[in-house]
Order: sequence, then C-alpha cells, then structure tokens
Amino acid sequence: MSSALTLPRLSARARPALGRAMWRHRSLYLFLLPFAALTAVFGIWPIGEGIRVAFLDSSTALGNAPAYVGFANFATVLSDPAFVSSLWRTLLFTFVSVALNVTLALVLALMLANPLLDRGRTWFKLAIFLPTITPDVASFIVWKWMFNQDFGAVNHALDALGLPPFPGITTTGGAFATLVIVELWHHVGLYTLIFLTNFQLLDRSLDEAAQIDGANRWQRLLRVKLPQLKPAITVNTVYALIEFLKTFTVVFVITKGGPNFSTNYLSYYAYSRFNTGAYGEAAAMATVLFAVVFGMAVTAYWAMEREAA
Amino acid sequence: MSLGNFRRRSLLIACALVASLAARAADAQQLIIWHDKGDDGIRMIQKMADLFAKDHPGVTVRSISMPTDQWFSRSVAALNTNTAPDILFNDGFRLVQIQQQTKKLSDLAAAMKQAPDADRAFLNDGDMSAATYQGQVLMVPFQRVITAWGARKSWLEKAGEQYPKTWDDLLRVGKKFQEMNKGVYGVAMQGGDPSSMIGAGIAMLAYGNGQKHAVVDADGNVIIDQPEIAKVTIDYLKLYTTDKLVSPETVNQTFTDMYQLIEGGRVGMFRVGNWNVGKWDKSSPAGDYVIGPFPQIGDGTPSFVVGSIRGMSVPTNSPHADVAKQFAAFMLTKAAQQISLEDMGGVVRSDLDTSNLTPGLKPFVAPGIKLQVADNAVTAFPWDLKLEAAYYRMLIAAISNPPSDWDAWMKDTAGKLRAEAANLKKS
Amino acid sequence: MKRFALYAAASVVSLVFVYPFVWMVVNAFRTQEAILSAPLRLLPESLNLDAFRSIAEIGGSPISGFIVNSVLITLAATAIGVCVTGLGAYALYRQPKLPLFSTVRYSFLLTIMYPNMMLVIPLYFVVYELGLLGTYAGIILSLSLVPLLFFVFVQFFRTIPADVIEAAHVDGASEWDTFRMVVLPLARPVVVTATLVAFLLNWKQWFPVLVLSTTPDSYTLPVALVSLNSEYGINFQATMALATLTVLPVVVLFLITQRRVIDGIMTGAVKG
Repeated sequence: MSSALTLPRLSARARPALGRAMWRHRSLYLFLLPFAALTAVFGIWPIGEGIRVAFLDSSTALGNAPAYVGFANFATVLSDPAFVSSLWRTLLFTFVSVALNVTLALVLALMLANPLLDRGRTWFKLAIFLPTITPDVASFIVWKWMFNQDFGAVNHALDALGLPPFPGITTTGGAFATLVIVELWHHVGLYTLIFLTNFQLLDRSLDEAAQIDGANRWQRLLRVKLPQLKPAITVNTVYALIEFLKTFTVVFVITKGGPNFSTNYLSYYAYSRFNTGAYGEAAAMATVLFAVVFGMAVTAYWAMEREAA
Repeated sequence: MSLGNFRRRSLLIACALVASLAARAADAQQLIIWHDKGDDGIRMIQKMADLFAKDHPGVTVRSISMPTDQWFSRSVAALNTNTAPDILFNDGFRLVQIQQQTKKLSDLAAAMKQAPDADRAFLNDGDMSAATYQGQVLMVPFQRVITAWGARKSWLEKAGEQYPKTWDDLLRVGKKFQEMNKGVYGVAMQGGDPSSMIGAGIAMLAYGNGQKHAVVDADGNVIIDQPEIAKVTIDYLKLYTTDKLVSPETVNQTFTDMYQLIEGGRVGMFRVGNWNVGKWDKSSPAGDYVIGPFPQIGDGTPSFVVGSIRGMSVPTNSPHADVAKQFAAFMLTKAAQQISLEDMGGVVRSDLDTSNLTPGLKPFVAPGIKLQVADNAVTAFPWDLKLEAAYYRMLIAAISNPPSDWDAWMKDTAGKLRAEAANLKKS
Repeated sequence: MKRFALYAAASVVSLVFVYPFVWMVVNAFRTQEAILSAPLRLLPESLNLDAFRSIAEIGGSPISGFIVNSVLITLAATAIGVCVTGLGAYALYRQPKLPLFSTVRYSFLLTIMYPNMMLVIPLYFVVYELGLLGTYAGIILSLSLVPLLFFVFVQFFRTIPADVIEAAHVDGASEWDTFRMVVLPLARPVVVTATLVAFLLNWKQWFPVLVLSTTPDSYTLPVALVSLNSEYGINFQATMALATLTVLPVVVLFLITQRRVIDGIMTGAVKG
C-alpha cells in the first residue's frame, strides 16, 4: 500500500538514485537471482498456473488451444456433495490431529526434560524423532499391515493382552482413528523437539522463584512454564495446521480414501480427479484448499500480532 | 574447481549427452509397451518380441509394468503431452477410458484388415464389440479373460462338502469354513472401488448366472431392480452385512489385497481368472483348489464368465506407429497366441496346442463349458463409467449402514440411479 | 521409584516409535507364508534372501536404476538447493531493503504456504510447458527448493556480527570477495548441516517424482515402493525388503549425524 503511494513521488528524482543503488549492489542481485528464479518458476508460476487451470476445460488443458470455461469447474466442485463432505472431514481430521499432536508433544517434551532422566535421553529423543526423518511411504506401508484385520500385529497384540480387537480401517470410525494414530506417530517427534528446544530457552529464575515461594509442580507448570511456552505452542499449532490440512501420503498408502469415502480428504480427492484427467476440477479443489490454508495462516498470524500488541 | 576445469567438465558432459542421444537415434526401432500385467506380462511380451524380430530385424520391444492406477494416469498424461509410448496393453474397458479422456488412440481397423484372414477368423462379435468404441477399432483384441469360481480342495474335504453348486451351498460351505478355523473367511471379494464391487463382484455373479447385462441393458436402461439382477445384487451385499462371509477389510480392497488373502490361505472360496493360474501353479494356493461355474442364484444358469477382452492399442502420437500396429496385429498369429496361452492363459484362437497346459489352466479351455460374455456397456455408452461410480456410492453406503428392508432399498436405489442416468445422458 | 517409572514410560514410548522399523527389517528376511502365519515374531526363522532376488527387477526395470536415481536426484537437488538458497538468503540478509528484495522474500513465503502436495499438480503443467516433463532436470529443480534450508541460513547469517562484514568492505574487498573470504569460512558448519538436512528431506520425497516422471525410468526408491504391485498381486516379503532398502541408508546417516541434523532442523523450525 505505502509503496504505491510513495513511488510516484520517488520517480521524478529518486529513480536514478535507485538505479545507482541497484548497480552498486549488482553482485547481491546476482546472488539472489538463482533463488528468485527458482521461487518464481517452481513456486509462483505453479500457484498462478493452478489458478489458471481451474478456469480451463480439462480436456483442453494440456493441448495447444486451452478453452476457458469461467467458474464452471468451481461450480461443479462446490455443488458436488462428495467435495463438501470431503472438506468437512478434512477440517475435522485437522483439528483433532492438531490438538492431539500439540498436547502429546508437550507431554513427551516434559517427560524428556525431566532431570531424573539423565542417561539415555538422546536415545529416547532419537527414537521419537526417527519417523519424522525417514521416508514416510515405507513406514505407512508397515502401518497398513500392522492394522490389517487378517494379518496385522495390532490385533494380535490386543488379543494376546486379552483386549477387544481394533477395527482398523474396516469401519469409518476405525479408519479415522487409524489415520490419526499413524499421523501422530509420524509427526509428534518434530513438535516434541520444538518444545524441548524451547524449554532450554526458558527463564529458569522464574521457576526457581516460584519454587521458593512454595508453589507445587503443577502450579509451576500451569502458572510459570505454560505462559512462557505460549510462542512455542503457537508455532507448533500453526505448523501442525498447515501439515494436517494437506494430509495426503497416509491416505494414499493406507486407505485410498475409504471405507465409504470416509477418509477421502481434500488433497487425495483432488489427486484422484487429477489422476483421471479432470485437471480443471483438481485445480479448482487445490485452489479452494489453498484459500483455506491461506485464510487460517493469516488468521493465526493476525491473532499472534494482536497478542503481541 | 577452477573456471577452466569447469569448462572442460561441462564440455565432457555435453559430449556424453550428444553421444547418448545419438545412441538413442540409432536404436530408433525400440517399441515401448505400457501395461499392468506384472512379470507374467513382461515375460510374455519378451517372448513375442523375440519371435517378431525374426521377421522384423532391428525391432526390439521393452515392456514396462506399472500399478493399474499409475498406468492409467501416466497413459492419459503421456497421450495428452505427446510423450506417448508405442503401445498400450490392457483390458478393453480401461483402453476405452483412455480414449474418453484423450481421444488419441488410433483406429486400428485398417491394420487389422492387413492381418491374414485365417488369423482374424477366430475373432467373434463379442471380441470386436469390446474393441470398438464410437465406430473406431481401438485395440487388437487377443486375450479373452475367463473367470471361474474356485474353492479350496482340502477345506472342502475337511468339511465333508462338495463344490458349491448353488448360492445356498456357498453360504453353508462358507459358514462351515469359518467355524473350522479361526481368522479365515468363507468368500473373497473386493469392494474398494466401482470396478471392484460392480465389475468384479455383482456383474460377475450376474453373468455367472447367464444374465446378459448387470447394470444397464442394451438400450441403456437401468435394470438393477429386475428380479434376477436384484436378487444377485442383494445376495452379494449380504455377504458383507448379515452373512459376514467376507473379510471386513473387503470394503477397502482391490484385487491386490484380495489376492493377499487368497494366497495367504485365509479364504475358502474366490474367483479364479485364467490369468491367475500361472502364478497359482507355482505358489500358494498351488493345486489346492477346484474350479467350476459360478454358484446358481435363483433360476440362473451357472456359467464361466468372459469378463473382458484384452488388447493392444496404438496412440496416434506413438513414435513408431507403423511398426507398433504391425506388432499389435501380430498378436493374432498362431505362434503369438500359443505364447499368450502359456504365459497369461488368455487367447482368442481355438486351434492351439493345449497338451502342455497345466492342470490349473485346462478347465478354462475344456470344450463344452458354458461361457457367458460380459456386456459392453462401457464401450456402448460414454456415460457408463460415471453411472457405475454413482452406483458404487449407493452400494458402499448400504454396506456401511445396512437397510432393514433390502427390497425397499433396491426400489429406492433404482429410482435414484435412473435419475442419475437421465442426468448423465443429458450432458 | 519415580525414576524407574520415568524410564519405564520413556522406554515404552520409544519402543512404539521404533517397533515398525524393526518389524520391517525382520520381515524382509521372512517368507510371505511365515509373515502371514506369525506376524508378531521378531526373530526370523531363518535368513531368507528370496525377496532381495525378487526385487532385483521391478516392473521390468532393474532396481539398480532406482538406487542410482535416488542417489543422483537427491544429491543434485541438495547441492543446487544449498547453493541457491544459501546465496539467496545471504543477499536478503545483507541488504533486505534493496528494490525487489522484499518481493522475492514474500514470494518465497507465499510459496511455502501453498500446500506442497497441491503444488505438485500445477507444477506438472509448468514442467510440461518448460519441456522438462519426465527429465531429471525437471525433477531435480522441482525438489531443490527446501523451505527449511532458507530459515537455517537466515538464522545463521544473523549470528555473524555486521562489523565483520563491514570491516572487509572498508578494506576495499568486493561483495564477492567478502562472501568468499569472510562469510564462507564461517559458514562451513551451517553448509554441512544444511546439506545433511536437505539430503534427508529430499530422499523422502516421492510424490513430485511420481507425478513428474513419464516412465518408471526416473523413479526413486520410495516411488518404486508405492509402485510395487501389478495386476497379479503383491509380494509382501519383497515390499518389506524394498522398504528396508529405502529406509536403512537414511536411518544410518541420521544416527551418525543426529546432533547436527536435529540442531539444524530446530534452528530452522524454532527461530526461523
């Protein structure tokens, strides 16, 4: 906004100065050029392209004469009950996953930060973080088999413990829970480590002061530690929101959207439309999801700013 | 790295690139074939290619097998972006889908006319109508996919039962199997997507009882509530709900997971295709199953089913379209058909040497078996696949929340599906 | 007592996280029949190597091709990503207020907000229009922007005292010389860290490779893994063997370099 106001005034006299500054820093422009080019070609262009394709007739999208159909793809997508239900399911999955991930990460971090755990802490940390860094398709394939009703380890183990079987992905509720569990296993390590790193930045003197004042552990956790951890909780929540809104690989490998389309989350639905050549509809779905992610991220930043002010 | 050094290196890389491009140009007669038929398909095509090369020196063939969904999306994208392979090999209904999405499959009518009359004589009307879409011959049909019903031999003996001739037999035998062993199922089905549940399930049972159509008739009218079809459909759905004879995983499964169950020895009765036999001769359930026509439902006529016709298509933007068309037509020769029979089980000719076939494959070529050919609704009606997708949603929802009155459900569903069909025909 | 409970809890949790990996490796050496009949067993009956023979060729392509692709694509994307992002982040740090610089920064932030899985679909069209569909160049360049790297570098450059760079300038050194003689030696550790992090993250990538490939010839190991079934079913033992081949190299690399990797990711994630 401000640049639009100031530019005209600048243009008369400041332009040559501006050019000189750019010339003087030409090597910095050279440094930035490859990065700017990659961002433009593999970031901005695809975003624009995604929006453009959303307005195209699918069968002409890859041809020489693309035909624009206005908002037809958006109309198709938004009037498709499967899409609307997919959107709600995605949001529900996201909120449940974010809440569980952030909470469990905090609990795990508190456990790992306990001073009594002097030996082997690194190993516990590594174990929890391992799923984050290893190829997810491989571990999801393993999980798919662990939850299988006919061959799976989970029900064998439950059976051995005398517990009732878990339906895995054979029921809609079971499939939801399965994906939540597997995604929790996959991601919680990152959020745990982020909390742990933040613990090291905490102001210890506050905790000690509270201890001297006779506050018990829970009081110290709730009144002293948690308020200080607010930024870390916000960061983790935003990361997790963005992460789980685009949940895809786990659906691709484990449920393929089933049973009865109950885990047909937006990314997977868009991909399955793309896969059958319905490029326009797929791009329209991607654009809607982008709008949702963008909206949530902006809201989160705005909330943080307001908090800070 | 100094600049000079860098220049020298890039020159070297450029030379290597040019050399590899030149090598490719010299190799111009390599046909690329995409399919989803796994190692058996690769082996079969390799043998055929060796034979083909005798009359066509310098022509080599490389076939690449991918999972079915990848084969589909890759093929659509490749045809649209002019990066097509020379040949697509698959079931007719999938090739029709490719044509619907791209309109870039060649008309092979002329290429087929050039094949000797003696080769073409074996093709019947069913083969040709499966290969023809909107007046164009989309593929050279050369494999009839025949499906039978199978039951584990040792399990039947243990249960003191015979091969199930009727649906009541099937239900009784299936229950006995489940009582005999923990963690096994009476019947294997697949319900993870429309073609699994309808094509390989309900329609298979309908054809297996001598019905000519399963979802729409020759005029494109929805017939799911015709008494015979409705009975088949409801009996099928009850396998999931009240009879509980299939694994609960079935609702998510396509054929790959279903095979896992069959090969893992967890299921007593299942469909057996002539393409499965090659693998099942060598490994589990090797030899331990008997096959026959599909169990009788109501007054149906128990039959084997010709479920689909497989063939080779040539994209219009194939890099070597002429040779590719010759190779596709070559599939009809006696020598190529013999290889097809031995490596994949399916053929169109009836003059082949069957003396060396394995016991597992012999029943499929036995004279006098009752064969019912699947209809060609997919090629006849451009909207058929969309209708099946809509129907699938209704079916899978009924399995998730079984209705108390199946007949009323069927009446209601038929009404909804007719409305859907009317909608699809309009657009 | 309390200590014991704590160790017990930490051990159980760790076991849950590690168990799937152990199970995967063990079952790569057990026959399909054995896996299906006794799925919980964690000691192989005997070392069965059939699976590694059966995945020597997948769908008509030799597995060596997938391994070479994985290594080459990951290395190239990592090298390009580290150089380009490092230089870019340095320029943005040096003179954030230069014309167009903030445009680049905001463009980048917008890009990483777009759900990256969804970006792959339009990326397919872009790569097609560039004529790079199915080429190594297309795949490598698409992978080379690793968002986390940018924050790792930004965070590092902030720790360089401004007067160190200014001093070099006063001495008459050009921007390039300053970067080469002053910044680069200081940055060596962060470059190593960034390389490791980018390598691990790129090795995992599968979806862009799957979509941007036109044939299995450019598949990497994770993509081969999701492509390991045909119309003839799936070999369970072979799946576990290929999964092991896909996972083991990065587990080893990660365990050797864990301190750097975790520090790197944390710098990027927490303070970026």
